[in-house]
Amino acid sequence: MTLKHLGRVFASLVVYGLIALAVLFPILWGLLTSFKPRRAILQYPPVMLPEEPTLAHYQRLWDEGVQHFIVNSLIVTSATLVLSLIVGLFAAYALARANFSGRTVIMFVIIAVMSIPIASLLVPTFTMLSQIGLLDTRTGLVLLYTAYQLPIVVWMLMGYIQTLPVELEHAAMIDGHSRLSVIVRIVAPLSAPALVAAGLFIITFAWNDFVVALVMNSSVATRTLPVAVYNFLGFFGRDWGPLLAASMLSIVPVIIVFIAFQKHFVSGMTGGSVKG
Amino acid sequence: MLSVKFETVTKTYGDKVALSALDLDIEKGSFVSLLGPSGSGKSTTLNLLAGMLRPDEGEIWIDGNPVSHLSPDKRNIAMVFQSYALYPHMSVGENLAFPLRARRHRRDRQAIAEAIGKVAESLGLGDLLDRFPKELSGGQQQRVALGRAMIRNPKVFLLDEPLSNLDVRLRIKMRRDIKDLHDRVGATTIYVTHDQSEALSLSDKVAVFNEGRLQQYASPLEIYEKPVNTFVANFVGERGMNFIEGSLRSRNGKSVFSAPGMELVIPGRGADDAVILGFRMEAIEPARDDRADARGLIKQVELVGPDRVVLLELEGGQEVVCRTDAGVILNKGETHGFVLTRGKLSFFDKQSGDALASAR
Ligand SMILES: Nc1ncnc2c1ncn2[C@@H]1O[C@H](COP(=O)(O)OP(=O)(O)O)[C@@H](O)[C@H]1O
Ligand SMILES: [Mg+2]
Repeated sequence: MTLKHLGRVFASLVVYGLIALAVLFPILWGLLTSFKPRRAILQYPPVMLPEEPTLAHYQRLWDEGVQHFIVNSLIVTSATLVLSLIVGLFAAYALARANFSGRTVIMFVIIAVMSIPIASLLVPTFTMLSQIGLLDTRTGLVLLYTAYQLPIVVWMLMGYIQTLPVELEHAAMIDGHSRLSVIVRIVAPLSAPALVAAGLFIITFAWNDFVVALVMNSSVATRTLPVAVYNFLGFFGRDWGPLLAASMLSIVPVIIVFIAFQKHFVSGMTGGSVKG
Repeated sequence: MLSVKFETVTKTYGDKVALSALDLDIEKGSFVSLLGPSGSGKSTTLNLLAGMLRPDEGEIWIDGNPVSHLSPDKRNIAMVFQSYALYPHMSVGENLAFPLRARRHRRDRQAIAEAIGKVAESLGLGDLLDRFPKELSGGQQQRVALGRAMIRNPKVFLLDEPLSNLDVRLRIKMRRDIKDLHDRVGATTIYVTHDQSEALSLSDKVAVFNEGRLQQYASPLEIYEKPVNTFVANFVGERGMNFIEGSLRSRNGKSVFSAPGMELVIPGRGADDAVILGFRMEAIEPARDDRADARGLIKQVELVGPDRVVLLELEGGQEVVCRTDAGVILNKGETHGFVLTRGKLSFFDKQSGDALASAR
């Protein structure tokens, strides 16, 4: 390793470090502040680390019933995750392996749909949900989230499945397994990296979504965490402690999931370069 | 043990004919090789039989039943792939058990464990059951692939160039193992290879393919000694056949083959202006007296085991390979007389390359 090379490594470390700091600083500040007692929050000059850490703000949220919204978000997110991955895997498999007429049209539609902003779909999907009576339900949200996420999920999984050696599937069928069994026992496990990557997309979207949940669900019973956080803003007024604690509850889980699956995520995104 | 029959089976990819009107009858319990250069349609034939491909025309029969409409899982066939196709996310034991977990062949835990034990023992895989495919050597992977195919006692056994990724020594050992396996189990076995020595040494019958067409289907001996055309003659045999272009004339009930620098009197063969004489390298030998059929300049001498393989240039300019034992000393650069063994000559039509009907 030459000195020049070392210098370049060092330089890129500095650059990436600065970018990471810029992105992470507000979150870190929020997280630390959510543990500070009320009077320390607006202290001047500001102090980074909480001197007397407290869970009071979280206790307050709990007393206000935040756990109810967390459960709603968990239900909606995990149901969306499972549904999108199952439907997406089968759709992606069909597009990757089967030769049927209309395949090109479907692929085109998938790409086209991916590029439609969700905001422009709000009104039509609101009308559809109300017609089938799923407005203001968690089921309705799950179906919408799945519909929004499927194109990207199918696209990612299809690209990955195409890189798997088809001979493995042939071998499994000759070994006596049906097509369904082959998808479940061979294709799905070998697609794990892509499933993880797609899953992270789904989780991030479903857990963080604010606009769709706000428009479709109006009652407290079906409210998800991001909407609840927004409502706290009115409820707690300028009381930053509980507000920051609530924001952290909605941000941190996704970050933890990302960190936990980071390795798989990268190999899933780079598709073919990784052997099954 | 089931018989297999192809009836005018054709498979095309776009306008590329991968397999053209194949008729092939494979007796139950026999060992048949599909031999041909790369791209000649061998794998296509296997994949049609296994059910990965559907024929465009014709029908395939297994034990007298048409199977073209059946999916691969319903044909009760086992196959070993050239790439081995081991499931990378399963251990060796799980790979072996996989066929027995299919609904069609499902066994209980006990039976699966017993079957794995038996196969692992017969292939020497006992210590490897917990390893994953990527932790195995090529030879070990090959044995796992073989074991996975054997484990449910298939009635028809397909092998697509199973040894081509192994080194020579291992290949010869595995060749023997596969033959043993066939002798022991007796399953109808179809073996694809581009290696003619493998095909000849293993098989009851060999089917030679070229460009999607079956050229000849016969016993190894017949393929070797009586090739139906110049393609088979040249493809089969360690060095292919020697060819000399010339003409045939009748004279006194006998035939005379003439080519530049060469005149050969042979039992009656009729007359033909443009023929090719074909003979194998062991059908030409140095003359022991001065009665030679042709004289040749020795261009190269190669020691092969106890024998010598000699490259000659005949007086007519034709290059010929000759195999002799060490009895006659032949030195590079010398000229020597050679004789041809009359019973081992083949004649082909120059235009079509097809063998001329033998006189007898
Ligand atoms: N999926 C495919 N698409 C197009 N052409 C193919 C395909 N599979 C095989 N072929 C062509 O069919 C011919 C026969 O192929 P194959 O049976 O694999 O030959 P072999 O196994 O004897 O090497 C080849 O010319 C090959 O290029
Ligand atoms: Mg092949």
